[in-house]
Formats: sequence, structure tokens, C-alpha cells
Amino acid sequence: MWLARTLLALALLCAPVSSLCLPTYDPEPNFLCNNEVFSEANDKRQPTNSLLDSVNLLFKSAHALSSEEPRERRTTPASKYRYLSQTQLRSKLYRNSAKSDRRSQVTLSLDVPTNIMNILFNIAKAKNLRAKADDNARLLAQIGKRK
Amino acid sequence: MSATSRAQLCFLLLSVTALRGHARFLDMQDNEISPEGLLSLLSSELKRELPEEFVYRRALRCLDMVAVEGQFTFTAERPQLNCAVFFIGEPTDVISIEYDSVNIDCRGGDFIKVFDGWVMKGEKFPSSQDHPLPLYERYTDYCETGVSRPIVRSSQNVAMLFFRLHQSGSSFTVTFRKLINPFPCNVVSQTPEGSFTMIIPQQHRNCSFSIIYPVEIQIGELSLGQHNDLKRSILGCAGSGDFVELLGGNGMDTSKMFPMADLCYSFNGPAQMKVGCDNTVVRMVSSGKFVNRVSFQYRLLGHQELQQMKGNSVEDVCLRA
Repeated sequence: MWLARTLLALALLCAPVSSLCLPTYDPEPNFLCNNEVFSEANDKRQPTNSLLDSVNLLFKSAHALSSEEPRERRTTPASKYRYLSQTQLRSKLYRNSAKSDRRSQVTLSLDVPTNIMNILFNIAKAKNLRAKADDNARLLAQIGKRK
Repeated sequence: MSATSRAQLCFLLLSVTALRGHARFLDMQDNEISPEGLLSLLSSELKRELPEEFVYRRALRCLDMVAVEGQFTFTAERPQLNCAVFFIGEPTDVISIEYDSVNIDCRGGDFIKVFDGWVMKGEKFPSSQDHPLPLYERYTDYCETGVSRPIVRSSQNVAMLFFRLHQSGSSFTVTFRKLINPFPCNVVSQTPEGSFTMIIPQQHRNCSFSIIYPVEIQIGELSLGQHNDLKRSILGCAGSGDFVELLGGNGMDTSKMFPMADLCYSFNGPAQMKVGCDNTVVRMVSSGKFVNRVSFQYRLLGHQELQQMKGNSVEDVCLRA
């Protein structure tokens, strides 16, 4: 984590202008500056002094740092990795299931404004009248059949 | 057979027919009553045919309201995840819902739940303060108890059915019946106009009559058993165990509504009030020591009345006058 924070801080310092990115005498010149990030920025021919570019560079730097994680993960034993993954997956499913059960049991509700009930009342009334008319028609038909 | 005996026999058959509730058949005939016609009404074949053939049937929609008895079927043509059916009867009814056939996948997340009342936007009618059952007992889940308990009965004239169907082709059929409720307590009015008498006979409970319209309420009679009709209470209904309150609000839960008026003394004669809210409620609180009774009428407020109330009002709370 110390290394990641250091790299992030240096990336933040180097973001405003490329001229601040000074070469060093360290045997690994890429340790302080990620040339790929700057090369991409230069290829797009965008001014490096704008705030948006700084944010983009910071984002790319963070992405570059995150790309280093797979190398660290490769050193983790495979069995341990699978174990952690399964544990997290099971926990997530359980939590969602429990939450769903609780929500459906005690908070099941319909998100409809109250005043819409008037419309539903009118619709129900119309259906009721239609049902009665149909009922009367069947009665008449039945009586006619009996005769 | 003599003429007198013939007349007596016809009268007897007519009486039996009336008692069986088939009297309306006589109105359909050509004003002619004959023994043959009466006998045909009592034939076993006709009696067997009537109940099933005359059952009202129709399909349900995802969001629906049902006010007439019958058999209702919903068939999913696509996944239906958030559906509800409102059931409502007359004020003196309670609702019976019977599962006739159910084809859903309970293990796959489908459900059919009946709620004892109405619940919208998290607000319930009757409210928790007015309903005798705790909230978790007001939900009945078909997937849990549907097989052993195929009939669900409500405590008042409204109930609600929630369902979720994930697969196309899933379906269910329910039969909706209205049963007589001799002591109606919590009621939702189907109409914006009407009248009602609420009686709580020495029971420690609260009852609400909900009108989901802006209405004018005219109370004709209020009888509270306690003898406080000689003078009015200075502090309103504070400390009184028996009183009536008029509430207004834009939701279903009476405990979240605004108090418009409190009545804690008996009186006869018209006392009217206009409430310009989406929902207007007459609520009675009873200590259980007395027989309490309130009679009232209500009518829908017109558009001009609402505009006038709005113009005169300086509050954002529902309009009142």
C-alpha cells in the first residue's frame, strides 16, 4: 500500500505539466513516471494544463496502478483465492435473499397515488354494470330456453 | 281440485320461490303466473344449472379493481413483477377470496399475497391503530398457506391481492365473494356520495369510514354513551375516551392524516364540514364502556367549491371550510 500511495502522490504531482516529470538516476526510470500515460495524452494532442486533462491523467494513473494488482494476485495461492471468492458470493446471495424476503413480507405496497383510486372506482363501477347486464341477459336466455 | 285449493297451492309455491330468492324470475315473464311455470323454477335441473352458469367471469389486469362477485383469472403473457388487485365491497361486506387454481413457481420467486386492507405508498387502511391484527398477520401468502388455507377472509370491505409472476404462461384463478358483516367497523366508500351509521357496541376499538374524495360531511346525529352532553369540553376531546374526529389527507393511513375537527359531545341536528382532501375520514374512538353511534351523510365537492376553498385558504394542508 505504501508503494501504491507513493505512486499515486507522484502521479498527482506530475499531472499538471509534463515538464515537472524529471528524469532520475534510478536504475528503473519507469518507477517515478509512467511514460505510457503521458504518451497517450500527447498522442491526443490535448493541452496538459487543463483541469479535465489532470482528472483524466489521474484516472489513467489510477488505472495503471490497478493493473499491477493481477501480478500481486498471482502470488496468492489458488485455493485461497477460490475460497474467498465463494465466501463472498454466498454471502451476497444470502443477504439479497434475506432482504428480499423481509421487504416482500412487511413492506409490500403499491406505489400509486391515492387520487387514482377515483379512476379505478369508476372503472369498477362500469364493469359492475356490465356484469349485471350480462347476468340479466343470461337470465332472459335461460327463461326462454325453459319455455 | 277446487278453485280455492288451486289458489292456495299457487300462493304456497310463490312464497317458496320468493324465499329461495328466485322471485325476480317472475318479473321476467309476461305477467302470467302458472303452476307449470312455478314448478319449472323449482326443478332440480334448473337449480343445478344456475349457480355455475351465472358466475361472473373475466380476466384480471396487472393493476385492477374488483367490486363485483365472480371468478377472476390472470394469465401472464410476459413476466409480471409488480401487480396488485384491489377488492372492495359494500360497507356491510367483508371479502372472501378463494384460490380456485394456481399455476405459479413459488421456488422461482413467484408469489400471491393477500393483504387484509389496502396499502398504497406504504400507507395502510385500516391503520395499525385501528386494525385488530398485527401487520405480519395481515399478509397471507399463497406459497406458505395456500394449499391448507384456500380461502382468505378480510376484516372489512376492502382487501388487496399482490402477485409476481416471472414466467410467461403462469396463471391463477380466484373467486371473489362478499359476505355480510353485521358490525362494520372500518369501511372504504365506493362512491363519493352516500350515508352511513357507525355503531360501536361497547367495544374498545377504533373505527374509520374512509371516503377517497373531497367531500362535504354532514353529521346528523352523534351519540356518545358518556353523559357529557350538558356542557362542552373546554379542552376539546383531551382526556375523553369516546369521541369522533374528522380527518383529511392525501394518503390511506388515518394515523398520518390531519385532524380537521373533534367531536366529543352528543348532539342532534346537522353539523357539516367541507374537507378538500383526496381522502376524508370519519373516525370513532371508543373506550368500550358505552355504545357509541354516529350518523352522517357525505357528498362530493364541486370544482367551484374546491376553487373557492382554495382561494380562501392560507394553508397548504388540505382545504377545509
